[in-house]
Amino acid sequence: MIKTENLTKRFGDFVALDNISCTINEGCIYGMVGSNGAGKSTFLRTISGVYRADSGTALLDGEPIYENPAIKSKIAYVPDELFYLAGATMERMAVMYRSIYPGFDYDRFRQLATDLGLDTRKSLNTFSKGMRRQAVTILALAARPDYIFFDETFDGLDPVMRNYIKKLICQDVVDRGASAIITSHSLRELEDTCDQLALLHRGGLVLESDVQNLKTSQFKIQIAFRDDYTNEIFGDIDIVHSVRHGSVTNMIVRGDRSETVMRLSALNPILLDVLPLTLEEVFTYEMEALGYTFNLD
Amino acid sequence: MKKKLFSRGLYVEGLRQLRLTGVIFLAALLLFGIAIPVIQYISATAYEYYIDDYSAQVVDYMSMCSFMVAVPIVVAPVFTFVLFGGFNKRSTSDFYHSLPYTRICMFISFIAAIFTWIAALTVIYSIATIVTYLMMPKIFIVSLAGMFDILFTIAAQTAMVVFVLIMAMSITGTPVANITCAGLIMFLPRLMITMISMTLSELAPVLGGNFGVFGHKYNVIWAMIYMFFGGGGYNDLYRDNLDCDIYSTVIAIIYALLAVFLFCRRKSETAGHSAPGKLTQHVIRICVGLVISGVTTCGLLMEFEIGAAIILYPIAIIVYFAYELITQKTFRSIPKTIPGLGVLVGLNVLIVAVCLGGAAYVHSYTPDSDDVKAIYLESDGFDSDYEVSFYKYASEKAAAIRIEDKAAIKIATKALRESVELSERGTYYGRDTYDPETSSYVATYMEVSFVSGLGIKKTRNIQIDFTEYNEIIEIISDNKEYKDKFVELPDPIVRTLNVYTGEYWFSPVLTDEDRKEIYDSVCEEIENVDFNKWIDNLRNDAMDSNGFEISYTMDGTSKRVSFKINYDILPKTSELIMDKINDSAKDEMDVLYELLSDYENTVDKYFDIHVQMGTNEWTINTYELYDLYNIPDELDADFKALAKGMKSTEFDPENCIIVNIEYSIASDKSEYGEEWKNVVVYMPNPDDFEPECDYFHFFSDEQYTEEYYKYEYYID
Repeated sequence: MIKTENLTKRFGDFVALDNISCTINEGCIYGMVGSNGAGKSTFLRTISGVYRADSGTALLDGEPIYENPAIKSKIAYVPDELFYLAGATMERMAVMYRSIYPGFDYDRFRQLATDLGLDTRKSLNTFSKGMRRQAVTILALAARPDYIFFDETFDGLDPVMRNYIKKLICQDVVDRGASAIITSHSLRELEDTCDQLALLHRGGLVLESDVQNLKTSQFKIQIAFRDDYTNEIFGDIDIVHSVRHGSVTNMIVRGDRSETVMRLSALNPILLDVLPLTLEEVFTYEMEALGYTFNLD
Repeated sequence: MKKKLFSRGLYVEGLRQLRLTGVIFLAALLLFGIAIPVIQYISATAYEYYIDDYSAQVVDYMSMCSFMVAVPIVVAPVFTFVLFGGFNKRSTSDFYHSLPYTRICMFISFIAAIFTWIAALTVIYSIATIVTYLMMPKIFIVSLAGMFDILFTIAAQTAMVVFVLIMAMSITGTPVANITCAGLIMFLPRLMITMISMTLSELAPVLGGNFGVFGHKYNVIWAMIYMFFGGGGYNDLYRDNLDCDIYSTVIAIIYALLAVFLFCRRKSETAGHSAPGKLTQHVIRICVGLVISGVTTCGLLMEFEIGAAIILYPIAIIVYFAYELITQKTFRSIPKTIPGLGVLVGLNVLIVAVCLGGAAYVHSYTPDSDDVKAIYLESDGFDSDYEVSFYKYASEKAAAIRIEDKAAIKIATKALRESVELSERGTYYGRDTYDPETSSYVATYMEVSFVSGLGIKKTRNIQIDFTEYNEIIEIISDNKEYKDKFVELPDPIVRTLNVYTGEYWFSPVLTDEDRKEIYDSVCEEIENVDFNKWIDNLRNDAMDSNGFEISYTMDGTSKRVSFKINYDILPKTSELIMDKINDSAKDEMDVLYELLSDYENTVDKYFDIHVQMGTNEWTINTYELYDLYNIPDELDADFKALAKGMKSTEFDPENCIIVNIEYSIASDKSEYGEEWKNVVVYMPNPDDFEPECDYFHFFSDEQYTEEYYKYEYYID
């Protein structure tokens, strides 16, 4: 389990992480979304032991991560800016990973490379950006870490390859009980993969929730009445957002769906429709509710 | 996971990453290591006489493996950049810092990989080179004496370079900043020390040039740079410098500790940035400016051209801002750097204060003889890397001898007071003083250390009258330990002993037995020599016309010691050498005598003889081609007279002259001159048989002093 409490990281005057507290359970795929500069990469670097936090704690299985090889040996980090030795082939990089990670599974590395059609004897310099990302992802997965962190991993991958990589990550989580943290600036990339989602904005953790809960706890209702009305008639229904056009009100409601529908039906509306929300809409409305104006791409 | 200090996996990975570079360096070193001795051998054997007649060449470790100098200045930095240079790149830095190793473990494992490669290169290169030299024993005498001293120096240099680079890479995050920062850490303190020392020497010349631990020798990396720019030599750097090696090793250890500390504290986010913070950037930029401005300030104090300062100070400011622009790549930060110029000015003022204060302090030291408990007569170092005068060699050894004689101390303190007065007046030049009226040197200079009652030792360069100097020598010649240093010759490698005549540096053909006999003769004779005359002889560069210089490689190193032998100092050895020369020339002289005595019947049609005698500045010769059938009778007589002179071996060694004769005979004009025979021989002074020559004439040139007659044959 990864637990951070009041994690703060500054670069000069700029606060990259501002008192982040969160818990990431084992066997979970944790998605972290936010715009550029939100602090996603800094968060991953801090919990990978690359950065030392200025204040707060980052613990993995109850132990600090920074300068703790025993804990860091459970982590593989696939950064946004990929690392590979100059002129190296995948085979050469596999040799390097094997000398670093004793549990490196060479057979799995070969198998994955074959599945993705990557020539392990060709220089990585000759690979396209997407192929290099696939190669580095394969190397990290073959290291069989307990925790694997992907920073903007789906950038540069075609849809087929994205799905394949997502499948591989899910497979590791299911088969080995590994945990993964995936960051992206695009919520759409994460909504079908992650168990938990967090939203970072300007270094702060704005929202963190279970994906299933997010999807089911909010819904969109379209309602209209014959007579004139105000929102007061809805009483204590938790309306996150509402817009009225003529006699029709569109509102985002948080709470139990059937109970809400029952209470609204009792008001004798001439129109009552319940529509599902995309995760993106949920995030947008949650953000607005928190006072942020935020474009989730 | 036991990966706290060292990781075998990371170490092996480091070795792998250095493999390509290492193999390239190894190939280059092996190429040089094998090709150079082979080329030297081919070049030496191109002249057959070299092997048979001339002394062998001693090659010590540094002579053989001279490319070891590349290890600290090329190999070490390249290896360090290959392994640690990636930390300048964000992706690489993040990757390595995310690995399950502590930073100290990463540091030690990678450092171990670098030093393993360097050790492997050193061993393989050294063995290959030494074996190559050993395969050519006729030309080369391989000596490994001093090898470990040299390797110690190179190891200290290498460690300094590697650790300073890592320090710089831990502080800064771009290659330009890395190199600048490393250069500043490694060289700026020494540059400032050297400049201030030089300035002090100029402002207070009595201070001399021995600055102890502040001298250029002590930091072996700085000594190397100093050597490349023409100061000092290999001797300063690689030989007899154990104290410098120890000092430099201590510095390297400090660098290593700082490098570990900084690497462990390094922030990965520094990658790609010239400095981790504004303060560091200010410090580096000011130091960059100080390099030029500090040198200029010292130059002004040393009375350089003011024009140079007008150019150099603005250059210092330009460099100051240029560094900011190059590293920050924006003009916006320039205004914020302007206050730093004030600090730069302050530092230059501090340099001025240190130099002027230091000079005043040096001039304030004029102790009474009662306050001085002992003196040491210091040596001013060797002449060059390979050729060392015996005087300097002995002085170096004698410098450690404590002289407590009150009379000697009194002379030295008096000379110091006078020297300080001259120094303050700016009329102290620190060199032998020539008196044009008497046409002789009246004063000399020497470096003397004065030891106070508290044991504090201060070294000063003093000017001293020759009479007082001789008094000191007279006093210390009673000190057997001191005297022995000047009459005990260092052990020779006999095959390398050479004798050069006082004329045109002719080196006779000698057997090993001859060489040993000459060496033994010198050793025996100098035991009873007049000490003052012997010291004078050693100090004085001049040789009389029948003097010799003996030179040999000593003590198992390739350093050659040489000393002069004048007939009036070591007559027995001089005669022995003359005998050896005449003995070796005897057969050829007999032939030449026969030719000249009866040349019409013994020589072929074409004959030329070319005789050199006298000083090195001139030669006499008969370049004319003679048709023997038309030679005038007078010439015939002169040839016979010349032959008589040449043949004579019953010469007076005090009144003889060395003659170098080249002649060529041929029956056909086209063959003439193709083969010249050469013979060098001592023969009676030509004055003794001049009257018998009509066609050839000897004359003395009035322009020469009485000691140096110029003789010349000429044809009327």
